[in-house]
Parts: sequence; C-alpha cells; structure tokens
Amino acid sequence: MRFGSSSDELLDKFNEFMNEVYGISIAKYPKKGEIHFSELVKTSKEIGQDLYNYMTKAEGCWIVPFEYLDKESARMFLKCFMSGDGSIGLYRSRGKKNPVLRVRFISINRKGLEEIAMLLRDYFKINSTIHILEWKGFELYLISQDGKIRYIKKIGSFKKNHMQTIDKVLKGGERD
Amino acid sequence: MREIKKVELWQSYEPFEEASIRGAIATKKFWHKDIVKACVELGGYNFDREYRYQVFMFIQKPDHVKDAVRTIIKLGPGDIKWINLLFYKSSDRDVYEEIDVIGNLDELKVKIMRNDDKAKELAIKMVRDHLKGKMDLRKHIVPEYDMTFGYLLRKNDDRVLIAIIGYNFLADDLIKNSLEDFKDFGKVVGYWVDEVKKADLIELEEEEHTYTVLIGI
Repeated sequence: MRFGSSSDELLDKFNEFMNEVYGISIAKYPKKGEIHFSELVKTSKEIGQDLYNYMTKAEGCWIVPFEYLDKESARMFLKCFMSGDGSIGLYRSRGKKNPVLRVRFISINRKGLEEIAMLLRDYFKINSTIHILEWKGFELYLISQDGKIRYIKKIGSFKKNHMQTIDKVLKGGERD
Repeated sequence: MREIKKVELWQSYEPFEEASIRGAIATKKFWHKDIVKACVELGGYNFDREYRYQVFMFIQKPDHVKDAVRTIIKLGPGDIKWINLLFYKSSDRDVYEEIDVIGNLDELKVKIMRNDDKAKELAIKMVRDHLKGKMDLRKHIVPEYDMTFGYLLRKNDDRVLIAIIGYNFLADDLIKNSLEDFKDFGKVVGYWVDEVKKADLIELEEEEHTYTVLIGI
C-alpha cells in the first residue's frame, strides 16, 4: 500500500488514521529526485482486504462508495477529498468591498463529482454546480453563501491553509 | 488540436515508476514511421500557489520519451494528477503551434486586462438576463472566472508549453508564482492567454454595492 502526497500534513493525518484504525505506524519516504512528493509504504493483509472490500473494482475511475457511507462517514469522505483535491479560499477581488468565500472540488472524473454533489445535497442540504474546464477536467462549485458556510462548519478540511481560511471566515476575517 | 493517439500513462493513485515504463512501452507500440513527434502531457494542482496547471513537453525522438516522463515528474510542482502521451503525424498541429504567442510580459498583462473587460461585458448581460427587470443599475458588476494563460519555453531542443489556470483577480500572483515554479523547465520564449469569448453563469452574489458574478469561460 502506498499513500503519496506533496503535503506533509496530509501524510501525517493519514498516518494518524492508520494508527487509529489498524494500530500501525507507517514510515515516510521522500521520493528521490522528486522534491514535491513523499510516500508512506506498508504491506498489510488487513488493509489489503479492506481495500478489496470497499474500494472501486478496476473500472477506471473512482466512485463514491454510497453503500458504506452514513452521514458521519460521508462527512469524512468529503473532508478527505477536499483536503487533497479541493480548494477553500476567501478572496477580495478588484472593486469589491467584501471578500467572497469560494469552495470547490476538482477532478477529471465528472461522474465522481456528480456523486459528491449528491452526498452534499442529500446529507448536508448543500447545493453545487459542475463547470467544465476548457483545458481538461471539471470543477464542482458550492453555490449560495448558506451552503458554503454549512460546508465549512459541518465538513471542513484537514489541510492547514483551508483550516486557516475557515477560521478567518468564522471569525469574520478575510484572505487578501 | 488533433492528436492521432493518446495513451493514458499514469493517474494519481499509481506509483510514479509506472509512468516512464508505460511511456517506453507505448512508444514501442505506437511510434511508427508516420509519427513525427510525441508530447508528454502532465496535469497537476498547486493550490498552495493558487493554480492548477498542465505541461506539454514535445519530443522529436522515440528514445527521449522515458527521460521526458521522468523529467516532467521531477519538475512538476504541487500534486501531479495525470500523465498522458500524445503522438502526432506530420499533418497534425500541436497545441504549441496553435496558440497566439505574445512577445513579452507587459503585453500578456494588457491582454489579461482586456479579457477582464470582455468578462465584465458578458457578466453585465448575464446579470441583466438573470434578474430581468430587478437589476440595480447603480451597483458595480465584478466578474470572477478561471483564466488560462501560460508560457512557451525552450531548453536545448525541447519545446515546452505551460498552461496555468487560476482566478482572474489573482492574475499578478499567478504570474509571479508560476514563473518561479516552472523556471527549471526552460527559458521563456513567449507568453499566451486564452481569449474570453463566451461565458456561463455559475453564481451571482448580491452585496450592498456590487454584484459578484462567477462565470465559467
């Protein structure tokens, strides 16, 4: 099993989960010659069995495992996805008095993003819209201020700069 | 762009070593005598620097593919999400040849400002259509959108095209950050920006003095 990321905080968080669920700690290997990437590597039958049971079976793209997600695990799924492939920012663009909160998920898998939209709507009453990117991929934008605030309060992210933004929004600050 | 063959080499959940091995296998299989060049295409996110990106590295010889894949992985900033390999016949134009090249950074900034003007024009029309008779004409219209711009680079005989995608209102930061992040890919020999022509409304937010219009270009 390998878990790779350019983000030390996400690698640490993954290690924390591995310890919590399987009682194991995993060594971190910086990839030689790749300044942006480290890997956690571990061989474990138990993890292998769980991955076989719960993950997408060789169909190409990832899917949302609806059958295993209650509201709490859906929250965790969204939070983890946001940490890796999402963006939470509070921006003040030219000519504006107040900053605007932007929350979005990004992927090249449109069907996967549509399933994320279903999770957001069905469990958390958060509306979103998918936009096709000109070059490649799709963006799922959360729409309405209420929905975005509900997202950052109820779901959030493990990523440090996302958490800082969330903190600023909830305290009424802004990101320049 | 009309590539005759696209091979998906790697996606983010796979070991990096696989990418260059698959690149070599795909080259053996698809680089026949009618193929004149190939391109390693990499897509990545660098949200800590506020952008997503794509890199297109063009190769003239089959035995350069493996090294090109390794180089692009080594130099790509942030999180790499996918790597593809594209093959071209002599009649095919690649993305590097198709874009309108801008000579210098100042011209790039001027063109980005022109895009903002066009985006504002489109946003005004969208607000008018969306709110119908209820639009408050005293309020400012602020368009926000994902802009796409980039660089043409050269290193020895290699040609590289970088596409940067990020919010228009962060343009100055995006230019500064991306020029730093991609400097090892080669020397900048040109700039380019996708022209704003049409747009879809994603979200409209009304404030005391402004309509903020998030549009998809």
